[in-house]
Amino acid sequence: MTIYCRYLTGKNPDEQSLALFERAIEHEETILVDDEVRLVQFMISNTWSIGFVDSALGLFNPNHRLRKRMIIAFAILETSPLYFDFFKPKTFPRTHLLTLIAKGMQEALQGLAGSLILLFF
Amino acid sequence: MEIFDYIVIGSGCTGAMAAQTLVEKGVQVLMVDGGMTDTNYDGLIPDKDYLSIKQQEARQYEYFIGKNFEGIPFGKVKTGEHLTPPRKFMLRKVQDWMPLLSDTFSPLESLSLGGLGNGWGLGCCMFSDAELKMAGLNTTKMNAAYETVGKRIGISGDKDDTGKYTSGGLSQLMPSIQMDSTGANLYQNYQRKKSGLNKEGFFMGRPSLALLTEDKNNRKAYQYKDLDFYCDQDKSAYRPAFTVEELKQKNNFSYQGGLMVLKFEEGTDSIKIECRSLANNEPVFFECRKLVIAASCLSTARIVLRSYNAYNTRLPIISNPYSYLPSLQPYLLGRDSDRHKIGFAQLSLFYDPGFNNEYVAMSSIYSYRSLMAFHILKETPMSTKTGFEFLQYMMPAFTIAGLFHPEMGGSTKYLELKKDPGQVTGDALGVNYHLTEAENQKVAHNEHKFTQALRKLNCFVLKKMNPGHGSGIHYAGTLPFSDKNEKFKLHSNGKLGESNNIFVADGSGFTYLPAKGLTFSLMANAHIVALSALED
Repeated sequence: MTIYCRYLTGKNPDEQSLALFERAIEHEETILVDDEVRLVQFMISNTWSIGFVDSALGLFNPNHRLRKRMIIAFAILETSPLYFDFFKPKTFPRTHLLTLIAKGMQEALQGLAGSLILLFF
Repeated sequence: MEIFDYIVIGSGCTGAMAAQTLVEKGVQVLMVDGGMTDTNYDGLIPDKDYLSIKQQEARQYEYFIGKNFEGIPFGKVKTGEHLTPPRKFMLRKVQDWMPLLSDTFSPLESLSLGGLGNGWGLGCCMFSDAELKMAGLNTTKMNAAYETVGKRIGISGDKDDTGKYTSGGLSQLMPSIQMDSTGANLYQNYQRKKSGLNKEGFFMGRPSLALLTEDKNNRKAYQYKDLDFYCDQDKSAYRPAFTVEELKQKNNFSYQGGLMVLKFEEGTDSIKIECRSLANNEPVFFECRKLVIAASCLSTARIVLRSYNAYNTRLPIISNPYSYLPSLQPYLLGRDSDRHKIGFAQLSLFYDPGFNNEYVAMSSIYSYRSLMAFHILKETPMSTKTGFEFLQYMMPAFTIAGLFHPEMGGSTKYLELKKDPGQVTGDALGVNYHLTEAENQKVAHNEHKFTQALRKLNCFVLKKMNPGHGSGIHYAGTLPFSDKNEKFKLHSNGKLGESNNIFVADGSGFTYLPAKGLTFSLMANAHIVALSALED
């Protein structure tokens, strides 16, 4: 949760969000098994990898338990006023579409690279 | 044991309406009901709008994702998963007490006070005379009953291009709610292109909703708080529980919640009702002179089949095929101009290829925001971070078209009650529901036509979603109306065939389901059945 919150919002998670996350992941659908625990440990040690893994799971394995944990973390942060500025509705310039197209292409490459990381776990 | 004049089973839209009619005529009425209420979230949501809550409230997670995270679907999404945590009480104890075995039909049932009316989308469409006839309903009585029910619940809408499909003909109609940018932009496009669309049989207009835009008694006009999926603070949206609460103030009405009605036994002078306590499974009995069953067509079928010990007897069922079309209006991409989005339908789009208001397909148009981004995010094939950036850009342009198709019965659509000692009721309802090839083709054709029509309105369908039969929560026809006095059929006045004093006030009798939302017609019929029970 800590590295995910920093990765997503650029902020450290607050205590309430951390406590909620701990409680939420007790659900059987999100309990990690051996290789998945090792993957999380790898991501904690190598925080640069979280974006790659996030992309790869979204692209190739959306039902992965780690992806579910990320969605839970996202939901908890989305319902905290501390991160309102990050989640609030925004207006974008018309040219933002071009930025998003570029990001989409980058995302595909990142997902492919991330899938290489997943091969080790 | 006290013998009541009337017992009404169920407190949903039909039970509440039938009970109100009976109580107003001065007879003694007992309502027997599941009676589940919201004990987790009632009163928890502050009196603020959605964005203010998001910005200010530390404990918002409690009602937005649930105290036990029940608002986050972990596994396969089933019917009812879309309900927000404060609405989940509608489903309490349903799995235990209303077991349903089916691979092809996923309905929503409720044991709550107010029944499925707690989550009703508020659409109020009058069936045309042709549709009423096909459904087995009396046109003169129904048109009068629509007026009565409309005055009771309060309806807002317009007399526009779709007035003849909705409730534009009612004498008392409050002004429509304002639209947010999603609805306004689409409607503007329709105004520009309507002549071409009209020629193809497409008509767009403001929906008639059981939503107040002017104060009515102790209910307030709609406040645009964008919390429509979470609470009914201002009571602007009609919920049958409001009617039941009002009836509780009357001397000739009493209410017994926490009960599951298992069966009835009709004697010479009275009818005995056997119930079970939902809390401890203890038997509870009541007696009345006339019984009005309004338990919703599936539960009514259970009660009737059980009462006649008619296990493995097939009854018909009809359910509107439902699909939804997540779409985008490119003009709105990246523009967040709305302080408040609206959760209820803002527009209705009707497809009437015969221009005769008979076999009409209907789409309700919604915007999307207050249901949280994470619900869509988990379906996005990219990282949560980039996915959310895309969503923020796309969210103002998101438009959801919920599409209903008209439906007739058939041999591939039936239910039967089966003995099952493992269930607390000792039985379970099996449902088999398949469309014929021709029906599937008709549905696909309609979906294609709607996709084309939306494209002409500069609204582009991203995907077609078919959540499965029953998920539209529009079903009926388990005890169809008949001219003959037959068991498992209803007389046109709602009386159960081969009975003397048992009436069915829900949609069990309907022999045809127009695509238009049926709740308003169910309530009008319930009013008529209650009047018939008084006269009979």
